[in-house]
Amino acid sequence: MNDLIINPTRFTPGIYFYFSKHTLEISGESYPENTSEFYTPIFERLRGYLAGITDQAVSVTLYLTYFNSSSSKILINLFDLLEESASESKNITVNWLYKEGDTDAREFGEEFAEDLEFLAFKLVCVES
Amino acid sequence: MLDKIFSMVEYLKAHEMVFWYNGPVSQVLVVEIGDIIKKSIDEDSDKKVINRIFSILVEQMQNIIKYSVQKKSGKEGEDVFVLSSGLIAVGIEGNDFSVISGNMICNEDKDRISQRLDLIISMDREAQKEYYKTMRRKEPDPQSKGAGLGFIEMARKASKPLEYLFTPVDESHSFFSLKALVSMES
Repeated sequence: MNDLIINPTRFTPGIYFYFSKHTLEISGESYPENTSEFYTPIFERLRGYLAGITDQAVSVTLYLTYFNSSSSKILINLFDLLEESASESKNITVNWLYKEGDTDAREFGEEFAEDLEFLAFKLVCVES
Repeated sequence: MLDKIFSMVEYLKAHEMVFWYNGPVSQVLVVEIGDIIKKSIDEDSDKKVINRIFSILVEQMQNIIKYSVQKKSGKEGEDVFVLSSGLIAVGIEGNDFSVISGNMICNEDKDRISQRLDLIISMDREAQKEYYKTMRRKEPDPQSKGAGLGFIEMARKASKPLEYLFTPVDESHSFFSLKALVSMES
């Protein structure tokens, strides 16, 4: 499966899905006017990838310095999708990165983690 | 008109307005205004405070893009309504920044807006958090063009309860004003 790389813009994050290396990253700011238009094709690729893996260790990194409320909904959909795979014994770890001192971003991560059961969800502080 | 410009500026200054925009709102403008606000608010301000203001502004502007109706004069002098125009302002109120939006809405949307806002305003922090988490998993209601999370997001970023007002414009339209206060100390 080909990697999926989308460069960041001023209001959409960079997508760095290295499927061949099992490392997926979303980083930057996310507040497009139409979130599903941006994320639907990305989710389709991700679904295809998740269906094809077995017990490989998959690392998913999220480092979003800002996201709007409709992106927050997209993120919960993303975590649900990963959670489903994790519940089928797939080895997936999410790393939620936040800047040192950014308690709001940390809380967002904590709130996502509260809603997940099977998925390994790590909060990672990035020193500024 | 020209002789009123200066007094308009003086009026805004007297009301401690840092930023004021009234007109069509687009996604590009959301990005630009966000940048201006980040730069124009005192550099000593806490990054977290600026991020909260920015976050509320984005939700307000994207609401305007999705829901606002604006009256304009058509060719034959009749009233026509175009989408996506409104007012955005940032000011200072005591120890808070005020983040304000204003836009025209159809009266049929009034009840839905006030019901949702009254509910959010009545909630404490913990209830707001639970409501946010529930709404995030729910399919948005049919009249809602977004995720339906804008108001609750604003309320959670604000340090005091949201305030709003409807001003009647004509038999089918009202002007909707919304204010969120963000404490200068995070």
